Amino acid sequence: MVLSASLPAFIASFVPSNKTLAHHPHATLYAGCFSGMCSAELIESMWALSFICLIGTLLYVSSIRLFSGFGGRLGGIAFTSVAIFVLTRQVLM
Amino acid sequence: MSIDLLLISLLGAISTYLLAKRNRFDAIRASSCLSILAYGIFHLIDLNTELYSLVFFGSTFVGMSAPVRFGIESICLSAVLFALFFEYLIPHLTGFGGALGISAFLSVCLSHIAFLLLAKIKSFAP
Repeated sequence: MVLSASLPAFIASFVPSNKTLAHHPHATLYAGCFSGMCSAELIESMWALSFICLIGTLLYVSSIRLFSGFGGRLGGIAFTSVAIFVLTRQVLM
Repeated sequence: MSIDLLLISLLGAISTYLLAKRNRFDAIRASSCLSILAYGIFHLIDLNTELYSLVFFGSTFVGMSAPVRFGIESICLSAVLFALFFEYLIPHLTGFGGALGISAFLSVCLSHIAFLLLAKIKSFAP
C-alpha cells in the first residue's frame, strides 16, 4: 500500500511543470494517491474512484490558499473527498 | 503509546522536513522518496514492514509542512501527536483513503494551536 501510493508520486515529481501551474499538478497527483489507498470494499469500480478524484480536485482548487504550508493538507483533502463520496452514496442508496 | 511507533513517527517527520529544504527536493519528492526508502529498509531487516512503513509514510506528511510557517519544535510535537492518532484514531477509519493524511493534518493543526497559545501566554507574562 505504501509503495503503490508513493511510487507514482515519486516518479511524477521528476515530470516538469510549467510556471503557471507550479507544484499543483504534483500535489493533486499525491492527493489522488492517498484517495487510491481506499479498501476494495469502499471503491468497487473505476467510476467510483474517478468520482472521488473529481471531488478531490474540486476541493483542492477551492482550498488552494487555505491551510497553505500545513502538513497533511493533501491527505485531508483525500479523506474529505472519500468521506463525501461515501456519505453521498449512503444517502442515495 | 508504543515507543517504537513514536520513534518512527519522529524519524519520518524530521527527516522529511529536513530533506524538503534541500535544493533538488520539494515536500512531495522528499515524502515519497523517504517512504520508498523506509519500506525497503523495513523489508530488508524484516521488521513488521506493513505497520512500520505505514507509520513512517504517515509521519512524512507531518514533515511536509512548510519551514516558513513551522519550526522543528512544532514538527516534533506534531509527530508525537500523529503517533497518538495512529494508535487511537486510525483503527476507526480502516479502509478510508486519506486516513493517515487527516491524522497528520489534525496533529499539525493541534501543534500550531498549542504554539500560538504558548506565544500568547508568554506575551502576557511579566
